[in-house]
Amino acid sequence: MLRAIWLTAQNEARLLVKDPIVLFMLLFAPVVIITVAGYSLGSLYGGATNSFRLPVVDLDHGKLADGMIQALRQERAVTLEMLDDPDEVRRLVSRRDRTPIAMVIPAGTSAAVAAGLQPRLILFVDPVRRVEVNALELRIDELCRRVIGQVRMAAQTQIESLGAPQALTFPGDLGFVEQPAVVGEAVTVNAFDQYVPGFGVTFLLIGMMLGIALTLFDERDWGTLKRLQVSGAPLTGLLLGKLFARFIVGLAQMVLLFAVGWALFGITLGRNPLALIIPTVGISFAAAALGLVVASIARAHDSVMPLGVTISMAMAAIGGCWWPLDFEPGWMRELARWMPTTWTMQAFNDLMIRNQPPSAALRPLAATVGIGMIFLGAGLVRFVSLNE
Amino acid sequence: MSLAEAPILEAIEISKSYGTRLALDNVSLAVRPGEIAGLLGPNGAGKTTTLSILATLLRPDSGRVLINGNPPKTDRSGLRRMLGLVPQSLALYPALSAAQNVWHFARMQGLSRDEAKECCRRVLEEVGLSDRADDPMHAFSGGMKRLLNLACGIVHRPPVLLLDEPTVGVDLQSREQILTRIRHYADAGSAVIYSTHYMEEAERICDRVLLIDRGKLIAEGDLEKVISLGGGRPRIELTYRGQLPDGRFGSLAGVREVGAIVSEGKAILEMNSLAQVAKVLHGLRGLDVNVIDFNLHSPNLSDAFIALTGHTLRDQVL
Repeated sequence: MLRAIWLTAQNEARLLVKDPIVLFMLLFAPVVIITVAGYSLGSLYGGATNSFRLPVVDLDHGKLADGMIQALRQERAVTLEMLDDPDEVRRLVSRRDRTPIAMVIPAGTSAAVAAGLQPRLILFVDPVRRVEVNALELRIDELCRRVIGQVRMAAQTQIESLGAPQALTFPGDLGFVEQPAVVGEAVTVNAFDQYVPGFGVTFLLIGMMLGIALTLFDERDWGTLKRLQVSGAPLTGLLLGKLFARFIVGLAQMVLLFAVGWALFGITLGRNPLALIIPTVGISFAAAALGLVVASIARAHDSVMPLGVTISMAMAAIGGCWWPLDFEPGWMRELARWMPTTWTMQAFNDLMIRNQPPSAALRPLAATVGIGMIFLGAGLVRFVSLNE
Repeated sequence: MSLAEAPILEAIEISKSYGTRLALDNVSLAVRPGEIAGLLGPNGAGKTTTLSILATLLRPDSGRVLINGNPPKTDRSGLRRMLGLVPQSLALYPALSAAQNVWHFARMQGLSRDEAKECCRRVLEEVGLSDRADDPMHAFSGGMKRLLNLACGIVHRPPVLLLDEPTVGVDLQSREQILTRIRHYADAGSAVIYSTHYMEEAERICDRVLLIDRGKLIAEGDLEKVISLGGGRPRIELTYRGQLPDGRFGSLAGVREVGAIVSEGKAILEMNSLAQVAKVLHGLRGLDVNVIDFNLHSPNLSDAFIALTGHTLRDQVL
């Protein structure tokens, strides 16, 4: 019995060492995902990250506003950017990276506090980046308390030195109020507005990678690819035909997901639900082209699964399908610009959460299709050169 | 078939290496309309590489291929459509029905919908799969799959048919059907290159054979010529009762003893020709050898192959 156990265990170890796919899945794939997640979510656990940019408009020009601005300048989590126009800071939110929030200190704030009132700072927020907004609001709230504390301490000292408390008004409080950066949009979002497109894109990528790459390997293994080549049909035509079919399946998959998301989870479909087809077209095309790349670099049928899943998951994670892009370190955000997932998520967020018109999805579409064309070109060249 | 007719498919001094291994070494061959040329060799001899190059799926390192007198690059699509390929693997879609498989390849070959419909019906009937046309291919027996594999290669009636071991693993009945269909196909005017390591098949349907071994073409010609190149002669295997005479069979003219198991009463004699059989048997009676059984063996491709290469057709060359 013991001999059987020992010999079987030995043989299993031998098989494991001989199977690079299993080793890949056991070692390399988790390392890739852990690396991406670790860098992306590092800031949640206090790890070093780049600061957020905080545009501020000071319409008050009083002592309290000066105190707030001084305190914000010393805050490591934000880089202050002083501007004059409230409309401009409003526009910067949601239109620019690392700017989930902007602050306006209304005229008369210092005077109102001095008069014992409770004025409110105005915070323009991007609902898409709710997590970052919440984190920054906590810091701003803390700073407000600190500044008010200093003002009150100064007032207390003054009262005590004058000895006539009834002659002075004790300073009031300072808080803030949220306003949407875009007029008409909500300041909070349904979590499914993020998750439905995010995970929809993830599974679209996985489905495309496996669908296209595996079937191409099947065709190669069966010999049908060779037979079709001998039929006189150009290999490029055969590949494009396969990609087109999968592209249509990808479109249908996303449309179905949005329908289910709307029916079951009440997701927002934006001003014009039909506009959601714009980013869907882009990501379906790019994902299909990426499937061809995987087919052309995988060495065998068995390598498609680990390679495809690892690329899909890493691309989805880096591209902001699972968590806000702003969590990621600078180099990863730069890398994300080259991912079709990044642009697609931006378009979905603009259309669904930021309530933007369909035209807002055109630039992301161009970027996604552009990246997809690079994938397509590379995949075609390599696959054809290997098989012609 | 007329040998005067120009070859429809020709390979001229083609060579191909995979890394440091030379898979094909300066091989030339040609096939004419109506002819079945057998490409005969053991596994790993270079048959599939040769077919892949002829099918324009693989580029030779040197040498060239001419289809209908033209190099493939002049009109790759058009010239490829003259070819029908029946690969060794079952190049079919398992989930599709027989009719859907044939239809897909027919359409890809450029047939119109009407032509494809007619050709599918005809070819399925020819290979005997009409009544199973709507069944998925994965539900077929091995022999039926091979027949369907053949059907997909000939559905567009190509002038050149390239067959790579089309009968591997099939039952006798299906093999018979496949061989018959191929013979009919050639008789209708198509050129066929038939790759196999079954010498019985080559002897049965090929008009001409090409023996290939370790990437080299070692013999080419009609069956009689190639067999004669092996230098083999007919043999008679005797089972006898009693004692052999002194000097054994030396007194029989034109006969040479090539083996014997005296204790079992067996002997193998080599003759100049099969015409000597009666004379040999008569001579044996004169020597008081009581022959109780005998088998005749004519030299065949296998003998020729062994004589020319030193190993058998079923040996794997690595």
